[in-house]
Amino acid sequence: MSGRRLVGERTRVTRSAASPLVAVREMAEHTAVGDAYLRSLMGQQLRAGLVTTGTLAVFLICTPLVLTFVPSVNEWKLFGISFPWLVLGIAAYPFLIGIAHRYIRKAEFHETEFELLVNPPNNASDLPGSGHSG
Amino acid sequence: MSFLQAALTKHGGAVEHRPISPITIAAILFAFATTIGIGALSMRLARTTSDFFVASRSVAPLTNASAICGEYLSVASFLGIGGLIMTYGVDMLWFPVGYTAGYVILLVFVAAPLRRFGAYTVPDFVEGRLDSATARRIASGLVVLISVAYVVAQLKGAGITFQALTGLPYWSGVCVVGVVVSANVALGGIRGITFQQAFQYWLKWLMLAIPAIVLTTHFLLDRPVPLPATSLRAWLTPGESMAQLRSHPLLSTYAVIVASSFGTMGLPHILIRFYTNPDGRAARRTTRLVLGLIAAFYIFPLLLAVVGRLAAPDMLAAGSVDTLFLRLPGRLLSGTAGEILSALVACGAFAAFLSTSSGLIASVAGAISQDVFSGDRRGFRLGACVAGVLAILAGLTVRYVDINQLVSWTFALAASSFCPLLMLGIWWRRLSLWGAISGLILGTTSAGASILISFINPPGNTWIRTLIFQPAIWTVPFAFLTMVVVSLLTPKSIPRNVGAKMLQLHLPESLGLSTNYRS
Repeated sequence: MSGRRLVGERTRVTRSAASPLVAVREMAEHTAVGDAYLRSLMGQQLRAGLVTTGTLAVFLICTPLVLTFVPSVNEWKLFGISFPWLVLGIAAYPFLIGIAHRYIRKAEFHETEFELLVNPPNNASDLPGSGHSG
Repeated sequence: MSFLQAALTKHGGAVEHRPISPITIAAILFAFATTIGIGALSMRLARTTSDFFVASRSVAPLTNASAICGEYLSVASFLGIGGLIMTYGVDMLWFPVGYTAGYVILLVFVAAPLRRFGAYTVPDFVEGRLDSATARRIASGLVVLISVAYVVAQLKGAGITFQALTGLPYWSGVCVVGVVVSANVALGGIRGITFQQAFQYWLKWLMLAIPAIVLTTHFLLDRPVPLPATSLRAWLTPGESMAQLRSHPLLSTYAVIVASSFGTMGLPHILIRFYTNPDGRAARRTTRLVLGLIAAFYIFPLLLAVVGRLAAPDMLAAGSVDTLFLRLPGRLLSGTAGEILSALVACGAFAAFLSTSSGLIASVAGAISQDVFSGDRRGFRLGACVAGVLAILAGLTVRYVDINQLVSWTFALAASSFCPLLMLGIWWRRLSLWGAISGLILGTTSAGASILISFINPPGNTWIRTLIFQPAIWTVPFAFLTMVVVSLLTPKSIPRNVGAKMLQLHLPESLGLSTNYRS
C-alpha cells in the first residue's frame, strides 16, 4: 500500500463526490458559495475551541501566579485540605471534564445546525437547488 | 540542585535486597500471562491487513477510551508521579493536571478533524495534507524517535522494578520487558492491542485502587500521631520543593504545564487510537470519556502519596523515588496483607510497562513497515523487532534518570514537533510544505539538543539550565513561529487543493464526503 497511491485515491474520491445536495457539491467544487459555507463552519468551530482553550489557559496561567504571589491562599482550608491541594489535586479534574463537555455540546450543535442549513428537512433532499434556500 | 543531580544522589544509596515473595512473583506472572494470553487470542482474529492495523474501525467508545488510557497511563503515572508527590509535595500535582489538560487541547483542535481526514497515523496525515512523500518520511522518523524515547522511560521503570522486587540486575528487567513487548506486538497486531489495552487500564486502575483504599483506611483507623507542621511545610506549600529542585520554581512549573499539555496530541500511539472511532463525533465523545477515566485513575496515586508521606516519612531518605510505591505497602502493613498489596502494585506496574510499550512499539512498527518495507505484515513484524532492540539499548543507558524526567522529555519532543504541525495543518490554509518541514526539523532539533545537553553536561547558569532541562516552554512557541513565518515566505509550496483537504477535515460525515485511508 504505497503512500502516493493513497493520495491519488483521496483526491479522486473528493472530486468525484456526486452528492445529491447542491451545497455539498458546491463545497466539493470550491465555488464561492461552497467556500463560504465551509469557512463559516470552520470559523464557528474554531471560535468554540478558542473559548475552551482560553478558559483552560486562564486556569493554567493564573493558578501558579496566585499560589506564588498570594501566599495567604495557602492557609485556606476545606475539610482540612489546604487550598492548593484542593485546586490541583481535586477540583482541576471536574473543571477539565466540564469544559470538555461544554465544548462537545457546542461543536455538535454547530454541526447539526450546519447539516440543517445544507440539507433542510422540509425540502426533499434530492431536489436540485434545495441547498441554496437555507 | 538540578532535577537530574537530585535523581543521581537519590539513586546513589545501596539497593535494598529483600527475599522474593512468591505472591509477588505470581502477580508479575499474572500481568505477563494476561498480556500474552489476550494477544495470542486476538491473533486468531487478526486475519486481514486492515484488522491488523486499525481493528477495522469497529471498536466501541468505552473500549476505545479504556484502550487510550491503558496506553497513556504509563509507569510514569503508575509509579513516577506518586513517588514524586510523596517526596516533593504539592508542586508535583502539576504533572497529572498537565497530562489530563492535554486531552482538552487534543479534543478541541485535533480529535474530530483527524478522524474525518481518514489519516491513521501522523505520517499519513502529513502526506495527505501536504502531498509530499519527503514530509511523510520526516514524520515517520519523528514517530520512531518519540516512541523509542517513550519506551526507554518504560524500560527504565521495568529495570528498577525488577531490581527492587527480585534483586536481579537492572539490565535484566529492561531486556525481559523489551523482548516480551516486541514479540507480543509482532504477533498480535493492533487488534490484539486494543482489547489488551482496554483490559490493562482496568487492571492498572484496580491494582492501585485496592492498595490505596486499604492503606488509607488502615491509616485513618490507626489514629496516627500528627506530624509536626514544620516538617511538612515545604511539602505542603507551592513553590517550596520546586525551588529546591530547580532554580526558578515558577518558570519550571510553566515549563511542565506546556510540555505535558501540548505534548499529549503529538504522541503517536495515542493518535492511532482516534482512527478506530467510527466518526468525528465519536472521536470527541471518546476523548471526553478518556478525561473521566484519567481523572478516576489519578485519585489513587495522590491518595497513596499523601498517606505514604504522613505515615512513613522516613522512607524518603533511602532508595529511588520511582520505587517508593512498590515498597510502601510492605512498610505500612506487616505480614501477608502487606505482601499481597505490594504484589498488586507490582502487577499494576508491569501492566503499565507492558501496555504503554506495546502501543509505542506498534506505532514504530507501523511507521517502519509503511516507509521502509512494503506495508505488509512481515514489515510490521520486522519493525517491531527493530524498535525493541533500539529501546533496550537506549534503556540500558538511563538507569539514573527519573522516569518522570524521561517522560517529560518525550512530551517536550512531541509538543515541539507534531503539535504545531497538527494544529496549523488542521486549521490554517496557508501552511506550506516548507513551513511544515522547517518547523518539524527546527522544533525537534532545538528540543532534542536541549535534552542531550541536560543529559550529558548541564550548564551552570541557572536561567539557562532551567530552560534546557524543561525545553518545551521555548521550543513549542519556536516551532509554531518557524512554521508560520516560513509558510508566509514560501506561499508557492502551499498544497494546491488545500480547499478539498479542509473540507475533508471539517465536514461532518453525514454529508457524505468522507473517505478512509484503509478500508
